[in-house]
Amino acid sequence: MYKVGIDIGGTFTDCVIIDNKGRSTISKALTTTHDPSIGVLDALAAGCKTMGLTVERLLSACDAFFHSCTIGTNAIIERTGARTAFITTRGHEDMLLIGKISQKVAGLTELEIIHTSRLNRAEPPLVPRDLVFGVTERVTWNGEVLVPLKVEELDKLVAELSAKGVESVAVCLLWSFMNPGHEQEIKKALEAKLPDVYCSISSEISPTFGEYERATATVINAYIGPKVKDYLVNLQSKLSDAGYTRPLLSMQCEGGTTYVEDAVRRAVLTVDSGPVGGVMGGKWLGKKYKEPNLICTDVGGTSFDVGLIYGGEPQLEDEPVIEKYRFRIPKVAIKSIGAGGGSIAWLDVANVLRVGPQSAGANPGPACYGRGGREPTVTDADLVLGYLNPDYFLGGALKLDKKKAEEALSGLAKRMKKDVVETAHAIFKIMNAQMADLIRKCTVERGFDPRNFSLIAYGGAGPTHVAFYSADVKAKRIYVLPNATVFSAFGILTSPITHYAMVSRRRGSPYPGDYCRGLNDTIKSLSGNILSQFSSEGIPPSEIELVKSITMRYNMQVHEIEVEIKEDDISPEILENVIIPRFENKYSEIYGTGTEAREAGTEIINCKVVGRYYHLVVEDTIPESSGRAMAEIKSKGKRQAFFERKGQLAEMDTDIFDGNSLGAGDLLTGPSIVERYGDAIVIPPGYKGEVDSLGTISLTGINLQV
Amino acid sequence: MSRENIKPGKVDPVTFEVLRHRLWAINDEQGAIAARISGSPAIYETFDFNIGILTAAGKGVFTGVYIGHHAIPLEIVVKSVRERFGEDIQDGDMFFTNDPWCGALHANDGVLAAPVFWENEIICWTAIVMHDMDVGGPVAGSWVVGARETFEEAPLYPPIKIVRQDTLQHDIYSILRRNCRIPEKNYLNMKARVSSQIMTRRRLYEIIREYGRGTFVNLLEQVINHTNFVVKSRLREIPDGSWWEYGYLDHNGITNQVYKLVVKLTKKGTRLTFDFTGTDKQATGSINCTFSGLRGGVLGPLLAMLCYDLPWSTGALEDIVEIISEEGTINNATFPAGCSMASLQGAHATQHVAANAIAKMLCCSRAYKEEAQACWQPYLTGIFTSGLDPRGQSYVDGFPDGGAGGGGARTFSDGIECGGMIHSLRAAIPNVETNEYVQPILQIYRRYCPDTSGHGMYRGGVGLEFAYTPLSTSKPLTCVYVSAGVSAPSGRGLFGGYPSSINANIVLRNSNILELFKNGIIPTSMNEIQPAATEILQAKANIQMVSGDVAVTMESGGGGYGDPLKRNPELVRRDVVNGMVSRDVARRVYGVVFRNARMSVDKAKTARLREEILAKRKERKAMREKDIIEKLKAQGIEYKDLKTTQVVSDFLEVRVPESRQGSPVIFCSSCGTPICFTSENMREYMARSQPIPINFLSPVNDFCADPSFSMIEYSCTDCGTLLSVDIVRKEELETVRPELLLTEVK
Repeated sequence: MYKVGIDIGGTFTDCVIIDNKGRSTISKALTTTHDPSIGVLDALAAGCKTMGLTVERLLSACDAFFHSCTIGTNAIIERTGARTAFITTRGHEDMLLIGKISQKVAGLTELEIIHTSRLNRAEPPLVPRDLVFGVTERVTWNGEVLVPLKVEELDKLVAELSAKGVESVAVCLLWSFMNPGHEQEIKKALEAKLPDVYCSISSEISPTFGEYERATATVINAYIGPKVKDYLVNLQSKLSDAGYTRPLLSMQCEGGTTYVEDAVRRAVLTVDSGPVGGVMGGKWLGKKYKEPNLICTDVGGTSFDVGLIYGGEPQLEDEPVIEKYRFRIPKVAIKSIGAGGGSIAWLDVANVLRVGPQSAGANPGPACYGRGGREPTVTDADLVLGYLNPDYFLGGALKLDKKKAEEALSGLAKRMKKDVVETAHAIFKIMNAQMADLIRKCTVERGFDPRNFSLIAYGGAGPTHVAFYSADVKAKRIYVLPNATVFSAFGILTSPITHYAMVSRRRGSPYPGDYCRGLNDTIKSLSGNILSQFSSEGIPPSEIELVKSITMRYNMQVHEIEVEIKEDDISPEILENVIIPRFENKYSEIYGTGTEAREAGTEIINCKVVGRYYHLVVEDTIPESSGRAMAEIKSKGKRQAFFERKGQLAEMDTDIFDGNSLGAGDLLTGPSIVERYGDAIVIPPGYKGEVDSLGTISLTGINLQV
Repeated sequence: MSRENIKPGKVDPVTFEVLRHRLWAINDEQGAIAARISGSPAIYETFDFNIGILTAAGKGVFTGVYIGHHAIPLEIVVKSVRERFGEDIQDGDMFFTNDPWCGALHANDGVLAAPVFWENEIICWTAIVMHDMDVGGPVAGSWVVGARETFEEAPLYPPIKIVRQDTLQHDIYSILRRNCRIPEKNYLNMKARVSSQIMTRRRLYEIIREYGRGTFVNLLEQVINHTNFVVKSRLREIPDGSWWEYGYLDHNGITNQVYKLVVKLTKKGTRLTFDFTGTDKQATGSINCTFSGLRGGVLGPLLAMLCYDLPWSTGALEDIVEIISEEGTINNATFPAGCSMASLQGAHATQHVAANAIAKMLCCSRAYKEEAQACWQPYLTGIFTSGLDPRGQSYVDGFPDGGAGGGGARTFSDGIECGGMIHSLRAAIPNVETNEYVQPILQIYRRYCPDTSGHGMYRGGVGLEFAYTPLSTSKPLTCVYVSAGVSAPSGRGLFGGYPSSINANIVLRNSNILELFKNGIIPTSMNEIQPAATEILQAKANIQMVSGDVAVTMESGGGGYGDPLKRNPELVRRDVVNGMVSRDVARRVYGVVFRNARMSVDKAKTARLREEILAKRKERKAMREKDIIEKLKAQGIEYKDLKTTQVVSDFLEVRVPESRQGSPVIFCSSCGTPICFTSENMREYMARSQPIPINFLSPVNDFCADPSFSMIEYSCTDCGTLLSVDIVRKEELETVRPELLLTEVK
């Protein structure tokens, strides 16, 4: 049996195939943006070729095909989603456009925000003003109906929707999470009269407090739903035609995977799900290495992404942002800045060196690509410093032109009164510092200390920079993974099949007995629903990990904390003596000791149950080498590379190794560089690199804690 | 050595950039942490707070991008603390104040400032400001409509040492608790303040440990120096000259007295002088601000338009900005003036004139014209409510929806619809569901308000309109209104762009709203609701609302840029279709005529109507006969031979003889005719209209609380292009107030 994981990137589609002995095969193909399923099959075919199998042979022996769908994310970014209408409570039609007035800064960095003359709302909006419809109805804060839904209006609405060629509808009414009746009525009417129109209602997509973020989640779902559905159904049928007999599994942004039928209902969960794969891979790896706290770092060509695993669990964010739309869907938190191999270095008016956020992208790319790029980039700096092999970039597929890199840097060098190498090193340092800043931001804002974390690095440029940016944050240990360039695809494979359900049970303290009984009933019924969903997919309850939780906060706060419920029967006493203290422990862990404020009163907001099914066994090992010291390992030769020693830049003889020639137990010392297909691991002086049986190289060094 | 010559050099440039970025992030994070802990929607959802890092000597290094006016005066807070406590400042101390004469903005905006010690010496300060929803005094919410002086307002606390050894001093804190209506909520905010300061200090320590004390201290200075250097280099590219703006602050909380503000911004080399001479005396009432609000109002828009890619270091502006203001005036009030509304009144009054003066200056530079923005929403309507919440508990809160006015027009595009205020870029309005959960109200509608923007070739963004009614409450709802710009349009435009509408607040008493609901009708404008009586509120009001009453608020948009007759008719059509501009206004102000059924632009009729409007403007007389052509001839210069050297917006330009000898002349860019020398008051040579009633601009202005304001248009005598607009009081009709004089040509 085989399992296949596919991740679609901007340039490459990555594929990982794992056999039932846990051995993996990796492959890549160019991403085909117009129809990504072509690239998916190309990557799969490339992998099959390596294994000496036909695609049909592999697929017919494949029991799980995993895939992160980028169709939805791209549709939002490129505004190519369905023609979507938005239906809301009359009088509130401008909700999405007003965007709480902060849409203009949503998701922007402080540096972007302060450029006031350039601020704009989401432009163009996902739903144009003439496709927004108000319906007569009103529910109040406690779920009571003040004005019943005027059913007569719906006929006219239906006519208008079809006259305007609407393909998809999002419905979000005020207080629908307290009383979903009106939304359900509208859905029923639309489904009866417009069966071809994709319909999303907020009480199903995001049944939580706060109409704007609930509405945006629903609108995003509606906007991308039809496209995601077409794509996944099409891919499923292509795979089925080629012999795959099971349903396709789709990566979800909250960290699980789900079957295609479920995925097309909640398309919003595919948004930004690709990078989530990497973090989930981090979770799997953390378990393997007994590292409960991990910083997952992905350095690509244009961006640097950071996600966190804490206590063995990926950290979620409640309100992610895409294209200035803040939406309320729990999502594995990934922070991103425009810093990557393609980031351009420049001097400001006071001759201070700056790096990014502008990027040379893939085209023309860094100057050293020789495709006409003239501006100095981080990759050019890496090359000039001797970290990259000009003849072995992407296994030699792309020859790098060091002369062009030096030319590009020389302008800056002249103005900075430095030589080209010094300038390259300055760019390298600033880039690493910005990445370290983002790591600190991700940890500190959540109340974590990065020194309590280890760090994994993946993405093409990650292994080159990781020793340096992790030294800045003093991470405990660094793991450079064997399959770093396809790690997100691998991560998708490690993600559990997940179903979750959440309902609002908002109430402030004190919590009387009947409220607790209601809570118990809710948890029981949500758990039942989830288990029966798994059963219908052929997975027995005994295999399911069920996590029950409530979200809590102090009275009137907005940020909730998830508190696990391990107790079968919640009573007012258990709440008071066990669960609230559990909440307060977690609270002070995040905000600092002494910040608890029980006298402010607490609130329970949501009740949530998550079911997970872990399906994967991976035991991919490389041959033992009986712990060779560096002198015993066959080197590819030596190269001059530059490293900072006691504040001075020194040119050093650096050993170069071929990643494929390493065995488990090998010990490398810096300065040395390991060249692999797609990346180069830089081990600076004072650092040691130890190869383990998975082929991971873990770095330790003087600048780290160990 | 003058600062000008210092380039980042003490700390090497690479370390400088590395650490500058890191410190900037630390400042931002202290805000994020505090916002998460706070239990007040004003903080976590509206972001009514700010943070800063200052040098040991109290110079501002970083200002957060939350409420600008909060953090800009932090320098004054630190100065007050240092003066009062001198040697008695220990490691682990933190100082609280809400005193407007010690750097706070008004009583609600409590500041906590903390020294950061290293080896027994202060090496910098950190501070946080948060708005508490009630801090006591005679009126719930502490916005004291009706107070004459500060003794009738909430208690003020000059800097007090409220934290020792990182521990809140409960004996002192109990005084604050006793003197407010919502001690639990304020306690969460206080915890958030303390916690953010401790966390920030911890992070600063990491840098010091890593890089050493010397590097850290130098770094702070260098961040300031770097910003100073860049701002100065920008100013050198802008010609010297003076730019004026005028504004009004209406209603002192007792009567609808209107106070005038004047600012003359003079730029000479790298120095900016904001001269407020001519501004009215301080009010007997709560609308004054002290020097803290004045400074915030000036530096807020300056940072936004000139430091668009730099840390907002107020310390960097020390030798650049000078503020001249007479003590005892409305925005530089002396003790014991009432200041409980300072943040929304004196400070905004200052800002809306300062912002436009800065924008006019930037319009005179090709390099920085794109950073210029017409006035964003000039004043907001704060509505502070109290009574019983939907669960029957007594509460004090309010809703900041009035902060959703429009952004100012840019020189290259329209302003942001419901963009808010320029000094509070991260501010947000809450969800309707939050408003309805916290207060016993139903928000009947909340939407864009047509005709609230300042019209222009590029128009300002429109403001918000909303209506609410008390719901299921056994007790009347008390609502305190703190607004301004209700008597005169205040969001002024630039170079022929019109001002935005007034703010309007209307109460429909004893209406049929519940009956409408019962009949299955949800009104979406006030015309659909029948009241027994209609009350048009003045800028300040303290009212009770009961079941059946409906309150409506319409918020000003942003000012416009350039003559509206220059706006692409297709854009006007889009605005009408989208409900941003009414058809009447499209015709009257934009000169656009539509074919009835399909709402397409009637190009021929539009061209004709626009010609007619221009022709009418050309018939108007200028105050002085235009004699520039003759004056030039007398100097032996033919005006057609002059060459353009610089822009003054997209509609005026400066031309000089090729030899660069002789006085520079301002030209109308549209028709290429000269207007006057740059050293003259150009408005005196423009065709001047009779007073135009302000409801010409918008039907919202029908609700204006003071009939004595009107609009004066100044246009090119030759082509009729509108070049300048002023809003004046009856007694100011005779004067032609200057707008700009240039003393240098770039």
